[in-house]
Amino acid sequence: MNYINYRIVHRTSYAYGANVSEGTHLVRLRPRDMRHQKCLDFKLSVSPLCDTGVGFTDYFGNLCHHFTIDQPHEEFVVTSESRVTISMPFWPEPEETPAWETVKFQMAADRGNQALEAMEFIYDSPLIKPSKAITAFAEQSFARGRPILSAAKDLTERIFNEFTFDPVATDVATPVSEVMERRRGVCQDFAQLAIACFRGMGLPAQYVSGYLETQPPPGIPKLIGADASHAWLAFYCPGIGWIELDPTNGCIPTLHHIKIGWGRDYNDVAPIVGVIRGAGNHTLDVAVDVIPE
Amino acid sequence: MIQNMTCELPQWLNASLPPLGSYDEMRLPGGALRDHWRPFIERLGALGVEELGNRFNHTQRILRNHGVTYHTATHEGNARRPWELDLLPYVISQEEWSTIERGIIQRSRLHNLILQDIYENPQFLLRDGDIPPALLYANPNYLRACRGIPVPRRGHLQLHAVDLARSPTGQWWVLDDRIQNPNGLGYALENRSIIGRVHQDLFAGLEVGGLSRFFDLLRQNLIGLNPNLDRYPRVVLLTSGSRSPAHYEHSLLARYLGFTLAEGGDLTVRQNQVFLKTVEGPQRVDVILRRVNDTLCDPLELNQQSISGIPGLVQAARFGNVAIANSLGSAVVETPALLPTLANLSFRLLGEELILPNAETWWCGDVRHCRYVLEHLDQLIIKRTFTTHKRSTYSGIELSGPEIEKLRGSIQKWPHEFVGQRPVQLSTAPVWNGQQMESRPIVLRVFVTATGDSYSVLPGGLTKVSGFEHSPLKGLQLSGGSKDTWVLGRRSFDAGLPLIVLESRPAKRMETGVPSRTADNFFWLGRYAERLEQLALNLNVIISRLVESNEPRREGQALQMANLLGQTGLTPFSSVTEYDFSGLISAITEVYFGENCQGGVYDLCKKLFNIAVSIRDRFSNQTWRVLNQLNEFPGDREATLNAGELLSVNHDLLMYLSAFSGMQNENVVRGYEWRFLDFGKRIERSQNLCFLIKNIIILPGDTELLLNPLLEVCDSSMTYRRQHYSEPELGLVLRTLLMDGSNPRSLRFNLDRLQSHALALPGESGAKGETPVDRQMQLIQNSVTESWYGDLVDNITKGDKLRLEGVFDEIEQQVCGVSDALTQQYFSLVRK
Repeated sequence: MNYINYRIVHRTSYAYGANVSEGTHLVRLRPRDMRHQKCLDFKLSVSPLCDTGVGFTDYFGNLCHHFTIDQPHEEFVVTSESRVTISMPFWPEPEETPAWETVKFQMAADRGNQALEAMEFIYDSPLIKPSKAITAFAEQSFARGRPILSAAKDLTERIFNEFTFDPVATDVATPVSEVMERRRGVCQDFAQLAIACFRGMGLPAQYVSGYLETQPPPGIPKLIGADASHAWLAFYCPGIGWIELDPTNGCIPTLHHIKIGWGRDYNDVAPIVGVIRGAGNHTLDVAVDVIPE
Repeated sequence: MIQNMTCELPQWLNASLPPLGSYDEMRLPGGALRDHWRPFIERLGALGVEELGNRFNHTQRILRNHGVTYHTATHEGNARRPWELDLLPYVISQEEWSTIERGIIQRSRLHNLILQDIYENPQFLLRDGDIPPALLYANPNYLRACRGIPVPRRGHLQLHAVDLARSPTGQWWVLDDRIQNPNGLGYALENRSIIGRVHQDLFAGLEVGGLSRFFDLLRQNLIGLNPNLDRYPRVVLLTSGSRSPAHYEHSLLARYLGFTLAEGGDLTVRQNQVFLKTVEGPQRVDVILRRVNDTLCDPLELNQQSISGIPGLVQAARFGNVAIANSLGSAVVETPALLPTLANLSFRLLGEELILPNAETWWCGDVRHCRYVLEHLDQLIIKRTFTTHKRSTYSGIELSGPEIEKLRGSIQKWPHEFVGQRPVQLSTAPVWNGQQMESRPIVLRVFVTATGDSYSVLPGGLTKVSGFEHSPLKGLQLSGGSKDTWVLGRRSFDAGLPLIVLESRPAKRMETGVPSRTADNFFWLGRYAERLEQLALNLNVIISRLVESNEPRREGQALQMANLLGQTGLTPFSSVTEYDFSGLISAITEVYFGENCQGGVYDLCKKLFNIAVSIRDRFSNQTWRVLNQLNEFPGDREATLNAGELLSVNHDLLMYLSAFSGMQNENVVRGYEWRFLDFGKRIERSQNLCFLIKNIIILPGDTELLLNPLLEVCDSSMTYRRQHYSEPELGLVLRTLLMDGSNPRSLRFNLDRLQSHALALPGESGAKGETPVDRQMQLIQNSVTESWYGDLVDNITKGDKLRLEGVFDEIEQQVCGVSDALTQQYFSLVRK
């Protein structure tokens, strides 16, 4: 199979429990066009009804929509529907990639456009600050002279094997150092942890936000809304470009990962951010369907 | 000759010698006065030491009266500290100044071009290696969301402050650029306005550079940024509120420039446009002069934790609907790591050598620089490249061995996070400490405004004075002493000298809209002022009777009244047990001075003043003097006060309050601000009155004894006596207090006033008329009628106390309804 077409429906609803007089929102929900992926169709709808405009491209090239709801409301729903086609990406043989130290030194010297753009992802970002423990963890995979993809795969598999997927252990504000300590978390935590490992070694890595098509166990029909937003990462290898890794599933993404966009960490590509006036707590419900066509 | 002249100076003018080696601003190495100081010092000498003492006191008095403050976060919480201003200005010659002026303008042009390259162009400087990638990519002030935002006239830098210091050789060095928040301009203005008054005679003939033209340029420049050419722009000064350290300056600048002072919560973004929420509805904002740090300006796209920002501001700027000065993200060039490359950037972007050098700086992200810093750690100041860390500056000279090693470890680990800087030994200038002159180290902060396509420097500035124990780490904060700055020989360039009048407004009026928050604050100011006055009147009734305690009947009244007021909560006495004479005195003292006595005098004075502070820009200096008196009231608790002394203290309070309300009645335009203030006052008074009367007439037994106190508490004794020539009778007293429309203390009078306000406030569409407040007022007016009063008197005769209680409760509730409607309609947009 060389390509797959998907239809994706992503519905997020907030119940505020009291009247909100004004809500200003910024969403990043449109799958991004790139070498192995094209967004064929995209529709964004919001309730209460409001004009979401044509959107604009942010600093990292992701498409955003910005809108304000200025009538009192107790519930806010954003639904995006996309159709995407994905073709099989090319990933090099791990042992044929350059040693990770070579990449590190090349980065320091290279001022080409691509390398300069990659430099953006070497430094600490608001949510990702490598700790001593994280760097020590990374060093076990990044042995001297090891080809970078080989080291990266090893790191990915170690996170997959040694960490427990636990949806209640962390939230969006949990720092990576704590994820490292407790060895639990969700896809966002594992992606950010792996990024911290790369940056701790002086290598550029970026946070990728998107969707994953999940396969139900054999014989059981797939449930509507069972899919989820997903997060993984990509690291930079001169001459090859960005290579993706999914530490949550211990694999290299192929035809089942649909990319919305990327940035330095979750904050840069959060699917929905908003500031509301006039209510206390809210409850959130997210339903995602990724349907192969 | 020069030597002779110095000898003629009186001994008291000889300042103590400066620390060894530093540059003496006033004297040549031999001890003779420098030429440009001589005329000033001679005049000072002619004044005599006694007159200087007078002027010193005068200065202190003005500072106190104007309530000039600067907050320092280091002292418990966020204390408002009085501003310190030295009696002697810092004097600089025209010749030297013109070098500084050229150097600073060059610096502003340079920074503007760098910002342009970073945020607008394809980042040539980065691509060509002139700016190392870390200085952008690792810089928390590099705001990615702001790249590509259109900037009017390509002016990223509209207002710029630069700190300068002079080293022992006489060379000026730039220590720091302040770009996202160029503090101090308002204080420089305030300093000149005070020194201008105190030393008016000393200015004559010295041709001291005037400040007003600079502010005209600044105002014109900001107005000229208006991106919406179809309208006369509304400019707001964005402050983070009265908790901001320099809030005094924000309100002063807003007042002086004639712009609206706004907090983030006053502004909202709709359809990608910024609006000011006013009592007349939302009004467009075209230009924002911001005093809020870059990352805090928009919680949606910048720092989500920000509570001072405006959600959607970045988007409005992206659409080119609002101009922001300085442009969002401009703090990126504040990093000291840029300093080592600045000379090179100047050459590349301007083709010029830097006129004013930076303090020598090494950025450890560069391997050779890092080596130098590590080798000279004990001689340098080490700074964090980006100011996100709690501790951002270390002085190698002051660190112990182990501390140095720890710092060395950090630098080796994260070299790009550190810079080293050679400390500049500051020059010294004379300071009058109240008794004599002494030499103290100084730093000069100068200000630049854009003027369309160029820049203009304020001929003056803020000279900051540090202590003898000067540490390079502490000298650069705004707290601590300051001086006015005199640039000599400037008169021909600038006619507006010395600046005294503070409350000028631009010739053309802006839209009048009163921000909702301001209206809310005026309303509560009115309520608190009235609450305080009522408390003072209550206490007066009690204390005045205690003073004449030889008369048993009067003392009985005092005790009975105290119990009534205490039990109903009208006066916050700590316990409601029966008082005796001495117990009452100490209870009253507590109500006055008790810092924890909720609703007591001290508490209400503080609350009232805190509200006033957040709308400081709305008061004249004259009104402010009165508010200051209230802030300082009742002063320190003295050992024990007797009844007579308490009465005097209480009279003072009543006098200040009268002064305040007189000021509001005689000196304030009958606009919305005045109406909201008066509205608050009338609501409070009506509620109090109903509550008080209710509690007196439902008392069991004979209430006649309390009628005189009641009239006094309502400040209506004279009114009653003039009308009735008799001892008080309940029916007649109630007529005076409830129905007499000519008595400003009566319910009738206050309701009428409320109604006239309700009719004058803007309606839904901005036009006056039919509003919910108005409808609520109608309800009360329809119930408080002559027949209502008739029924009331009937019920009193019948002794139906339950019914009476119900009647007053109903009126009270209706008044509450008016207050709620007002809040709902005019203030509810305010984000708390």
